Amino acid sequence: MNRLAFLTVLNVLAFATAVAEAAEANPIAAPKEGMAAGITAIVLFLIVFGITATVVWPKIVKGLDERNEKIKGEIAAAESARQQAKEALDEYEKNLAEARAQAQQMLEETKSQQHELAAQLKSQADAELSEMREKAKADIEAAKKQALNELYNESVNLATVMAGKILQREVSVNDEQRLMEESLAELKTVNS
Amino acid sequence: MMSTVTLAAGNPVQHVINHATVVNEDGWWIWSSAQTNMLISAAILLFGGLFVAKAVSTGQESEGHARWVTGNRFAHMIEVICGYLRENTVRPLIGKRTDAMMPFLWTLFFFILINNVLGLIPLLDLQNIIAGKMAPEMVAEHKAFIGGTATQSLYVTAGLAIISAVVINGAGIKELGLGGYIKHLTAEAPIFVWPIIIPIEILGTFIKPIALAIRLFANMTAGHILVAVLLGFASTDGFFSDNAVVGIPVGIVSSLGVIAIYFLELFVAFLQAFVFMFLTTVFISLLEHHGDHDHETAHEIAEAGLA
Repeated sequence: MNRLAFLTVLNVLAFATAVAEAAEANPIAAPKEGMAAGITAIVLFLIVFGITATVVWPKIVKGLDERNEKIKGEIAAAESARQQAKEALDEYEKNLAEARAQAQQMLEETKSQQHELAAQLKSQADAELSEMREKAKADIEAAKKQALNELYNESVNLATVMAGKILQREVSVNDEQRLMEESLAELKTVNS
Repeated sequence: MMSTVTLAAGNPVQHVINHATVVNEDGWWIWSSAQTNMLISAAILLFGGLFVAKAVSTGQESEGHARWVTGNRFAHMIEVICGYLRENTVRPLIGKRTDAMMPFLWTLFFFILINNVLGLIPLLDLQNIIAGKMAPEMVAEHKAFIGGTATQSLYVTAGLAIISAVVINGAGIKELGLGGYIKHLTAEAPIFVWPIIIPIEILGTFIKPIALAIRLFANMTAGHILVAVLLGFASTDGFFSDNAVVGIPVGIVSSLGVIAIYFLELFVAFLQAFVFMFLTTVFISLLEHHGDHDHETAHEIAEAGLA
């Protein structure tokens, strides 16, 4: 432990000695030693500046500026395109909304027309049906009358024939006619 | 045990200061390692800049949309840095003057950055390893052709600060006119305060670039010395110590410390390049018509920068 402490002290002394010697060897050179370096620095810098200011920096400035302009232009164009796209989208959405409203209106109209037509058709069908029914009734009635007439005629004829046979005499046309009319009158009375 | 002290006493500053390459008879350094580093930095900035400029430029129409895409990831990174510095750092401060000032400010930032980062590559040590075998006298005389950090030389940072000062005041005179520039030295204070204000403002004109130079120099030097000291611990006091019981733990801890500090140094390299450029912009912004920008904020930043 003592040995380590001793060595540490020695190293600190070594560092101090090194720093002290460093201080003795002044890093600021005497004019005789440094003047040429200073003049060289000025001359070299001016030469380098002269050349770079002619052939290097203008090209870099031009490249930087052109790129800046290009980027600014592209950003402006992108902004414009975005604005146009937004306007187109707005227009499209507006048209779409109008088209939807129009379609809805057309749908409503169509529905309305459909209902009207359906009602009209139904009414027409009802009328036709009613007419057909009436006609059928009339036809049935006519057919019934005709059938009854025929039935009565046949009945009268038959009755006449039978009565003639029973009476053994000829029933005249007038008798037959009278009989038929009486029967029809009775029939009408019964039907009514 | 004494070897621990002896070996650690090696001067860490030797690892980080500028080294002479050519010295004339009067002792003036004609060429040094920092100058070679600056030359390399300048070449990197020039050729790298040309490469990036080509990659960043808009391509041919035949390439379609791909012509707008930067052709290389590294170039893209530089482009992002350039764009950030221009739009987020400089333009809010100097507004309409930004486009005119950017070439200078970009060059300043990247020149300092490349020099800072190049200083993190142990070129000096690599050269010493090679020169130790090929030209041992060069190592013995502490001479070097390459290595170190150029921005660790106060003369280099002062040179850059002088350029900044010229640009700051030149831009101020151009913006305000000579009369307006001189009037600005009064800080628009009542006339009886002028005897105090004007000398302070004139001093401030010089102190601003001095602060720029010292800040960059001190930040780069301090971190590098710390790395050199820790490396000294890791080697002479650590793994190569006579006492393995102490040496190995010291070596491990110091090595981990060096790695951590190196990451910090990498961050500092970027930060100090940015700070130098940013404060130059702030100082430029101070010399303009009041009300053009957020002048009070610029004053606050400048005061914080000088502190």
